[in-house]
Amino acid sequence: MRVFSYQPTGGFLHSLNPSIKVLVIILTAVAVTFVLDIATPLAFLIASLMTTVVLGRVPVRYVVRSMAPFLYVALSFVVINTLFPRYTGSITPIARIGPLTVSIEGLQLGLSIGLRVLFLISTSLMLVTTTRPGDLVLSLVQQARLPYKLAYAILAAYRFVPILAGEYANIRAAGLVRGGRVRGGVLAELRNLRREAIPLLAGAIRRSERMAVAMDSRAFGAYPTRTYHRHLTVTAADWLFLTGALAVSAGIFVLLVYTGLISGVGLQLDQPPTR
Amino acid sequence: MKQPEANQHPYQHHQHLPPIVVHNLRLRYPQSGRVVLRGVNLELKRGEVKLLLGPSGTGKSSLALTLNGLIPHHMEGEIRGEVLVNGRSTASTGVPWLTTQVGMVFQDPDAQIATLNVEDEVAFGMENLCVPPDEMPSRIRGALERVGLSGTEDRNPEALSGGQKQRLVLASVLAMGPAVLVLDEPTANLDPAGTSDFFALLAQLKQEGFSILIIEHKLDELIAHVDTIEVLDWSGRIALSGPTREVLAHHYEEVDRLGVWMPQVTELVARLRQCGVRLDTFPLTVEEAVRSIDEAILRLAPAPAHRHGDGRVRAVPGGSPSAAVSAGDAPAAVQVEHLSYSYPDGTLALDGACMNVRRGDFYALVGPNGSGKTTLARHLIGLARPQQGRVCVLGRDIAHVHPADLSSTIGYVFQNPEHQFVTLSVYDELAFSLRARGLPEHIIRQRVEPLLEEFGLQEHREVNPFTLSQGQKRRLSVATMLALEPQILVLDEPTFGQDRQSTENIMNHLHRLNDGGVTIIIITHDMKLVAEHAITVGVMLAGRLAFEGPVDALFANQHLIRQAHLDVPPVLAVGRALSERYAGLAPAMSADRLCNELCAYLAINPRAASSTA
Repeated sequence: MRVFSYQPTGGFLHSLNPSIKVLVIILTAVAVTFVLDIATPLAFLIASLMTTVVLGRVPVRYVVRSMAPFLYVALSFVVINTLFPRYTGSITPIARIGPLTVSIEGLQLGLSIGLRVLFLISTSLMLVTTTRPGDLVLSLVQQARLPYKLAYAILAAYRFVPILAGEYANIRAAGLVRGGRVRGGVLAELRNLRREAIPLLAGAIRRSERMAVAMDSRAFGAYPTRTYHRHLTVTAADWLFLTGALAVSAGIFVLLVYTGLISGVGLQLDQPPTR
Repeated sequence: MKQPEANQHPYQHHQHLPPIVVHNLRLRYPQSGRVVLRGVNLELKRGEVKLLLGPSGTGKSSLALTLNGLIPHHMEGEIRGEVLVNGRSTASTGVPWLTTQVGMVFQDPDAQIATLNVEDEVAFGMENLCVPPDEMPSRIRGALERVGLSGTEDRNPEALSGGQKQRLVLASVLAMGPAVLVLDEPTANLDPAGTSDFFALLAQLKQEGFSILIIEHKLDELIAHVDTIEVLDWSGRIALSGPTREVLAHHYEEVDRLGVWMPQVTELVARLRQCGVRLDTFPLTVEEAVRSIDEAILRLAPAPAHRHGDGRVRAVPGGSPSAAVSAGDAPAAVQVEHLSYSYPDGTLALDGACMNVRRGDFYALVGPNGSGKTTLARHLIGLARPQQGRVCVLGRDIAHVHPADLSSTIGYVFQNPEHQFVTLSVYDELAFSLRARGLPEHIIRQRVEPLLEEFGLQEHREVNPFTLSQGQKRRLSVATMLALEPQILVLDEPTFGQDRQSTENIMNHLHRLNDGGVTIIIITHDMKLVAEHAITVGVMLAGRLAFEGPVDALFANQHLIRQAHLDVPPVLAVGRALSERYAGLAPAMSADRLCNELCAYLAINPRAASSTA
């Protein structure tokens, strides 16, 4: 099972216009950036995961397996921000590790950043599991007015990633067999990378040249615009989803302010960050 | 905006003109200053299938790219002379119109597919031409039907087989409405079954009236559908041109000298002719060859040839004249026991594979794409670790040996030579693994010099490996693996993309090594190569060896041949059909050997005959 990929489960989210989903992701991401507490990103994270499971009909198991690797990423944000808080001010120490002080404020900041990272990843998961990559590109051109040449370049790059990954694995293997890979340490790996970059790039350039020739032979870029055999539209369902997402977001903020879990935007800090 | 004339039916326009006329075409690449074409003339007639032959590096692909205007409009290249498409000069016509007249398909399907959905892919070209959306569904349906891909509309092209991908690319081109197709080695990346299907599709398109110019190496099945042949030689001009049978029958030696691939039946006929056996007709297919050789036998046999009709297929004698394979007691070169392996994503690549390669064997590993051949081979050199089962090399379990330490015992030549290059000059490349083992320079020189000479790389010793020709790169990659004098050599598609001359060179090297006691294991799709060179063959099917045994036993197993997407070399098929009719005539694995069989049967001394002929 490949995690973090399209799941054709036929949920409500699947029927939505990809650009609308992207818009919702951007809006909520911006909203969450402005607060530095724990409750807000946690609430948004739960809302986003539930949306994926309920409206996207993506199995809980699949969501968990896709998110699991990123728990480590989030955790590292928590640890770093706890141990090296980026602001000074009155702090409430709870533990000491050598020269480092663990404080409630540091822990709060770390958790809030870690949760925001998880939230951003969960929204990407929502998009990726319920949207065909081709439809996303199509919609970005048709609704978001992305220039089509750029869109197809993105698509080509997307298609190249697994191919290049396979190619790189081959090159590494070939190096191993020849004893061309230096063993041990980061510096050794860097030297290996320098050697391996040449055949990888040579292959990638040749491949993209061939791709360009093949696309040109089918009149790609012949005219400033092109037509599409499929036209994605924005329907009532899309507006409903957008409105619903905004309403839920506003609801979360109101609820949290009301219950005192956030006392105001950005007011968690005694002093603003020094950097 | 100017709308293209993409909507016309392919057969309605310009009935009176040949679709493509090339007149005194010269092509020079300004960056390198290299002149590729020096006055090419050719004419593709309506409904004609034309084969363009020539050794690699003579500009066949460049010529193809001038036919839809990509050169000079999109790619650097100065052209003089003229290319006319339906009467219009490509130099003064826009590429959009040209793409509606001339459709192109290239070698690598993965470097042509631009979208993530079959329907989108078929629509891709039409969309670029601004075809109205309401016109497209029916044209998409028609194109997919034509190439036999109906029902795959919603699939991701990645999920298709190589052969299907290539037909999808063709569908996308057909949907744009051209009546001319230019195909540049369209089957190079396909397995035998995919190749067969693609050629069958071409035959159908020819019936429908398409004009086709094709550059191709695999000629055995294609040649029956080819009307005319053009041969491009090193001078950058068309050296020979004419109807298929005429070119092959009257100019065989000239074409042969260029080192290009020939249909195997044609090779057989030419050999027979050199031995003084003249046929009344010039056969191209297996059926035709059987018929006309049959007639020749009846005509030439010293005693009245007696045909027998019991339909008994005789065994083919000894697969290869190579060194004797050591039997029983010595530890096997390679022994694989119940090997299973699945990828991190859960795909099962090997499913209890067992394989046994004797010392001194010339072993071919064949099977459809994705059957696990490469994964199995990678276990032999420690690149993949057995999840279940065991791999022994020369009697030693290699579970805990580092690949670099194995390489003095078992060498591995990757499919893409470039992947293996680790230095910036040919000499360093050959010296590399010796230096890594701390040998003194004068010893290294003693080992490298003979390799340079044997593989024809002396004058390139200081050259960057990446700038070598395809054939030289391949030879270098084989040579680098020989520096450590391994006892076993594994090669993944060693002849992929090589012309005949280069293939013969490589195979001769391998035989010389094999004669010297080196065990050779090749992974290949080329069944002619297997028939001609291998002693033992293993057939991979769904992660395990469905067959392991002598080559002739495999070719006798029709069911397995079909199941594993393999094919029987034409000469073997001819020999079999003849041996069913004539007792005392045995089939053979190559044109040379069948020719010798026939000469022996007819009591002709091939040497004496060829010297008087």
